Amino acid sequence: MPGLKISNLKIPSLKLEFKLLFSSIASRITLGLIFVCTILAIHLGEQSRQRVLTEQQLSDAAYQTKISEYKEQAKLPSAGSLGYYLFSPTRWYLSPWTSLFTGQSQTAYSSMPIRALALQGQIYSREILNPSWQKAGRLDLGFVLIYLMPILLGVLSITLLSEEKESNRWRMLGSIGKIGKILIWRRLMLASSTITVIGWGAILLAVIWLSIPFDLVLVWLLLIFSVYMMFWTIIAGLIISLAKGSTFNTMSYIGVWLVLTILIPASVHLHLQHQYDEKPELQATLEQRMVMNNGWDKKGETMFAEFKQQYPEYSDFKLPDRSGSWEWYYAQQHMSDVAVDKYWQHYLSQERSRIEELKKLSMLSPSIAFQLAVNRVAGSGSQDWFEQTQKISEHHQNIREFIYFYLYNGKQVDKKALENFPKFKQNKQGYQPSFIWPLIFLLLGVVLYYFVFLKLQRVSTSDS
Amino acid sequence: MNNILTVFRHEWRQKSKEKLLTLMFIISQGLMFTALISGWSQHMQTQEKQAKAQEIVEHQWNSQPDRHPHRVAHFGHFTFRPPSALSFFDIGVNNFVGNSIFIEAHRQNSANFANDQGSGTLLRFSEMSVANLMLTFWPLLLIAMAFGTIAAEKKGGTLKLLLSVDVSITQLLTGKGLCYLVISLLFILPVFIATLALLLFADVTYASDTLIRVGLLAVIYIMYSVFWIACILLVSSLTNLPRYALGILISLWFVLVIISPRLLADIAAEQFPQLSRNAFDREIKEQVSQIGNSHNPDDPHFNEFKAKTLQRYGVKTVEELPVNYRALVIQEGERISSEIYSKLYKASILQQEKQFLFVSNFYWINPYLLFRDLSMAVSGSNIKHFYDYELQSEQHRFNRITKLNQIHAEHIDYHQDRGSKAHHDMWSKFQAFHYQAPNLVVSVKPFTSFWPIPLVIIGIVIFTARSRPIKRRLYAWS
Repeated sequence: MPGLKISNLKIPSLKLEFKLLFSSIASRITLGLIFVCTILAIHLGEQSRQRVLTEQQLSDAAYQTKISEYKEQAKLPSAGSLGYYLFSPTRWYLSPWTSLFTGQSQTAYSSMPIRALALQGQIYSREILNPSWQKAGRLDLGFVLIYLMPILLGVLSITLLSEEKESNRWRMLGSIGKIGKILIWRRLMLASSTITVIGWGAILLAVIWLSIPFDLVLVWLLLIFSVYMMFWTIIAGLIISLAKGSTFNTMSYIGVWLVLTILIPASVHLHLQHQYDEKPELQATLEQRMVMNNGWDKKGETMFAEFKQQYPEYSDFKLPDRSGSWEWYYAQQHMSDVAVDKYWQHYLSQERSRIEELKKLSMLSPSIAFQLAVNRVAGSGSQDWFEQTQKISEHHQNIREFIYFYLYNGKQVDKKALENFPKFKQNKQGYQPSFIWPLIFLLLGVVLYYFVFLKLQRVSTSDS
Repeated sequence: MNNILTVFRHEWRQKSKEKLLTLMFIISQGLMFTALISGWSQHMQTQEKQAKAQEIVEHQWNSQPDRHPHRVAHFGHFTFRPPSALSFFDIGVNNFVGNSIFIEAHRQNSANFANDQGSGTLLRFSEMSVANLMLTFWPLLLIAMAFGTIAAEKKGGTLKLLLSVDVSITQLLTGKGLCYLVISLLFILPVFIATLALLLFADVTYASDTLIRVGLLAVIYIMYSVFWIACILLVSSLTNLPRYALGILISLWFVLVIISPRLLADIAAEQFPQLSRNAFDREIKEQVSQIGNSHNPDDPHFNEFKAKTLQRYGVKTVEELPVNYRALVIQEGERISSEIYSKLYKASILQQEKQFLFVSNFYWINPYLLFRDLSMAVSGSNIKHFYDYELQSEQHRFNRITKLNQIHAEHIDYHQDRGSKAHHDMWSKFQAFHYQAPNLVVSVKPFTSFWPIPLVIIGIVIFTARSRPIKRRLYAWS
């Protein structure tokens, strides 16, 4: 070109670079797809949460109706009858964040009713679900952020260098010194920042849509998403820095994505399944059934003496001669729980250990780590459900001890007692995320960014 | 034919030279065999554990002393669902459903103790099974191998050369398609041979149609490969640069395999919601109470039942009956609750079938869904098989409780009901529950209207190879 001096060339403006970023049909289609998925994910997640909340309200209403019916009866039920027929609703608190990071919130039995009979016969109950729907994997905002955003980053960035080389533009760009050295890095940063901003936009859209308060959790989420995208940017940068062709880059990036998001999680699941293949809950059910049934053939006094050791405040109570009395029945139910307590404790420790091991193994894949972290903050993760199970167990204890008070003190249930029937206390206090680890990873990311920058500069120089 | 073979040989040689692809092929085979062996070991473990548990519960049942039959009814029993013979190949929905049901009087329990802990985090793309690897990974590997098969010939100018030596476009596409079909066979067949070997040489019993099922699965996965080969050849023919072909094919894989299955499942669940556990239980209680309450002396249904019973036996009071009236009342209650439960349970299954039908409408657009569902059905690990077990278990529960109520009616005196017991010999006369898995015809029946899809796939392949627009584009770009 006449009059063109290479030294006068300027780095293209950001506006132009931004236009170039979305110039290909593939990137526009992917962006459109992610937009549609984001809207649907927020909508479907919120609809499912509302359905669960409605179910919880219906359970509460059914309980209140039952209490009202009892109050209207001419004769109030006996303590034994009350404990047998009255199911107390429990509620797993689902914060609005669970619409976005569903975790177990849509599959766990989050409004499990509980009564004063043996806990082990009730605690393993499950929600009715379509297993095909569970297998499909579900779409929530977490899925969009964790699995789709890295793909969008790949589409926008992974062939930045290879395309320039394959179209023979790179030789020219590389020969013009400063521009060539930083151009690829600059474009990578632009792609990364754009995806991060799109992700932030999706989170903020959801927050506004669902009226979630702007608080530290939101700041933490924006931070952790940025760190997550930094990780994928580093992966993309390292692949680009190998200076191979578009095919190699694309397949390598997809390969890394497959390993981190599909293969490692599936292998971790397989490993945990093999490691924790005992079924203490099944053993508890099998054995409790025997204990409960054999109890009918045994002398009630012997069992009741053991019961009184657990509840010395009722040591003066004398068991009626009549076999199958409520007093005998509740003691027998409780003692059957005591008999299989070792399995229950084993189940709890196994679940605790499974959760801890999953946390450790999540270090193998940032996708698992990110998902566990956001589920925890949303209150929808395995650990949250585990804590809810323990709260249900505590509530069960409150109910049966409430019944015992009337039963073994020979007191009649009155209207006040009905009003004072133990109510399940929801744990509304969300998990407060720590900023320390995300900030440490952020710093580490900055260091690795510099490393990638140097590698890309070296490639730019050597290949030009 | 010679030209086709020449193209085939040329393509084969090209692919054999690509070391990275060969390495990926070997790693994928390794993954498939790991999945197969781990699936097999899990399958055997489950079978062994169930056999032990079954033995325990049968022993517990048979060694009961003299007991009142109604106590025995509350003592209950367990039914177990053995893993289907091919669940080690395609685990289907097995991780999300339980394998045992506690059956007892008055209550219909659901299968419990599934293996879905942490599935919300770890199984978002399903588990590591042979079927899942073939459905998810194999298309990607095929794309990696073949995306540039035509586009690269165009870019490198070799397409022009080939066409000039009297190789037609149809022969070119057929030869290349044949090459990828053979590669697919090499990928698929070893794992099927291993599957057959496991079935034939391991000490396991399986249904007579299991080997046919294995053959059918092989056909399904070959057809699935044909579908992807057709897509790849089509895209590669229509694009003029290999990297464009790669971009489009990966986007296609992403939409068909990753996004649409979960999106459709979520929309289907939203459109056809099923009753929750609590709503289901509330509905049963309400419907049972609407029919009758045996504890209410003024209950119209049970008063009518009493009148009819007295009339049938030609007596005036229940005390005069030759059978124990209490047992008849219990049985009537059992009949009512069982009927209502079955009705609601079937309504719940119907909602899930509607969800299935909704998703199946997209089989024509996304054959991945068809092959995935067909694979689960043929392997006997889809929801239809699970519900079949729950229904058989409920039927068994009802029969068992009915038999106990019959013993109650005939062997326990009405006047000394509470203190009487039936002889323990009677417990050994109860048949154990053995799940009868549906045969192949029943397994694939929901898919009968979708059989044309594989034919359409073959049609697409032929169309790809012979269509004029493609020929024109190829000649124009060559």
